[in-house]
Amino acid sequence: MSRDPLDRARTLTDALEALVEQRPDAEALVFVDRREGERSLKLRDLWERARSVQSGLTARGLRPGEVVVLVLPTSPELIAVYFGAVLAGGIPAMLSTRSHRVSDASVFTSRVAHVVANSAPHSVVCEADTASLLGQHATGLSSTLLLQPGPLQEAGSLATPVRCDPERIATMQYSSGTTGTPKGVRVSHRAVLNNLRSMRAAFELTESDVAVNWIPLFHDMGLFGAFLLPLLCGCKTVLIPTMDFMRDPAIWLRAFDTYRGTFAWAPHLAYALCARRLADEDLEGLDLSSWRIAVNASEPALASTLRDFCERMAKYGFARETMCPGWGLAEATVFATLQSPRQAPRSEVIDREALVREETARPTAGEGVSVVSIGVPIPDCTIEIRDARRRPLPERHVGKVWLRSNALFSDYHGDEERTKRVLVDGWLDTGDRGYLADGELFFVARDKDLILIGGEKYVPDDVEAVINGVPGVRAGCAVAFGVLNAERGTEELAAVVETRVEGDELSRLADDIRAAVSRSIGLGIRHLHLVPPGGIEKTTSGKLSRTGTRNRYPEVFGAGDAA
Amino acid sequence: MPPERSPVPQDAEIESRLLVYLRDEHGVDLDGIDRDTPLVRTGVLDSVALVRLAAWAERVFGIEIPDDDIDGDHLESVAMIADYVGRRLRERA
Repeated sequence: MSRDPLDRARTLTDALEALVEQRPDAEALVFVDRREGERSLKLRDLWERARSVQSGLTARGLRPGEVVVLVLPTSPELIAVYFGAVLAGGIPAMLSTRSHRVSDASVFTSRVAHVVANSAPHSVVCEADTASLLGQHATGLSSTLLLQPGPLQEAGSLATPVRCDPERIATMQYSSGTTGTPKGVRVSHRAVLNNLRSMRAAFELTESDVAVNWIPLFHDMGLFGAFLLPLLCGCKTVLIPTMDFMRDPAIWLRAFDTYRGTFAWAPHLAYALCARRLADEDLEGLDLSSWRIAVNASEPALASTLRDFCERMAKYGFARETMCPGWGLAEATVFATLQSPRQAPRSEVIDREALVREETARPTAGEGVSVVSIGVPIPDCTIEIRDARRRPLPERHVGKVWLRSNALFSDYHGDEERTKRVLVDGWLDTGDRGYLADGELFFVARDKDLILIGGEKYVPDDVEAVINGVPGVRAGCAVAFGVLNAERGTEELAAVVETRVEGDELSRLADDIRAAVSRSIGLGIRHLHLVPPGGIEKTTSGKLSRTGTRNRYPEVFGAGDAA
Repeated sequence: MPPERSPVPQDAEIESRLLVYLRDEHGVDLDGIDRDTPLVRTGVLDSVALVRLAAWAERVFGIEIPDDDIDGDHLESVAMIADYVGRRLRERA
């Protein structure tokens, strides 16, 4: 039966092998892009390619347990190399290719170099143009083995896939932060398969589902949710390169129509884009009635966006119940809670005073804070809200979100201390703040101070470090944070910076700061405020208060730019 | 008889169409900017918006803009965008 590959498997290798045995001629993977149209890959071909890569890697000295870094765009080559590394007993770690965001090649290459320094991999697999960039800019990679997917896929003698213990690491995920020490989240085969099984149950996925996804595969949501999950459930999996979606969001919706897609993951901004930025002629004639699960995750969901998207797409057959806000994190493999696919999204308005003063969530009929439910825990997952002393809190009390599941990560690579801080007695401190109501999770604010722009996470410390390096900025006196733009459905970058510079020099300094952040991190500062020394609020211990500044932002600085 | 090829738009025409597009599609306040105002590093056009602008320019002017050119180095201001589009048009013609 189709459920077997995932049910019986103890490792990803088992799961893929069983799937291929069952239906070798299934055109399981379809790649759709704006230029080449459609290319499909049969399971048997995927298996052969992966086996060749396995041989190729082993012949070049890869030993079980070693890391292979992949810097490749969404393509058959990426899939083959990912599985090839797994079959060889290696640990794939995927990174973004150089994107349009980061204009400075040396910043891209230094991120790769940081990951290489952290993971000490056997090799980095990338295309020739990336290899050439890395060669030019990153002296730290001079002794790293750079491989290209083409030669790896030339079949050598095909050895048996490595069978490893389910506790062994299946994949390493590098999460937020562009500079400084990257965090390598390591998940075991057991954790990955557990999370895939839980998600399958939560979504009620069967082999007749069809996944249609454009999200990048180097994020947990893309790799585990949008790709491995449908593939190993026996579903047809349609993949669209991320940039092609950004250029023409309708390509995603058209693919739903063409392939009778049922299932997709996307960050909230994608639904905002489709709701507000597509012309009617882009949508004409589309039939989206087959779409039954639109997971909305990785960014806080706004009730207004969900409503606009559902309303606009209703005439093309999109049902409200299809929209499923959810949540997870790499430290739980990928997913933890989900709004049921059988229900319309649920949101409520809670009293602002009660929230701020008593830290409770009291529904109100009047004005207040709008919150969207991100659902109930998926199978084998438990959520607990706790206070700062880790004591459980009752429903409707706001506190830190703790999570227990059978899909928790094993550790942060090389960072036992940090691992111990977040994994306590089998529970994960997720760093998010929220409350439970009727068993459903609602988020209020983030503890982590992360800035979420366009579905990507940015660390404020990184932005502040770049700003601090600009001459004229008072050393150590900059705070960066995200400001929500509800219409765009995502955050924008704000920064408040102390300087002694005055008069005409201020606009030159503002330019310099913007140029530096744009080059190094690929973000534009939408709201930049230069203030005299002492102008940034401090905490009681004398440190700059990022939270205080962010919370007071609209009142203190008003709507417009200061610089 | 081969279809008449329309004359290559001049940079001024490109700029004015671009300004209308920025106003209508991205809500840019045209009174607040000039042709040299940085749009990318000021966050007026975030990375998603910039990609969409490139896709629009491709469609409207019949040119191709590779992924690698979609960044502030090439498309930071109205002047730079119009200049880039103009160059691609002249290459094509």
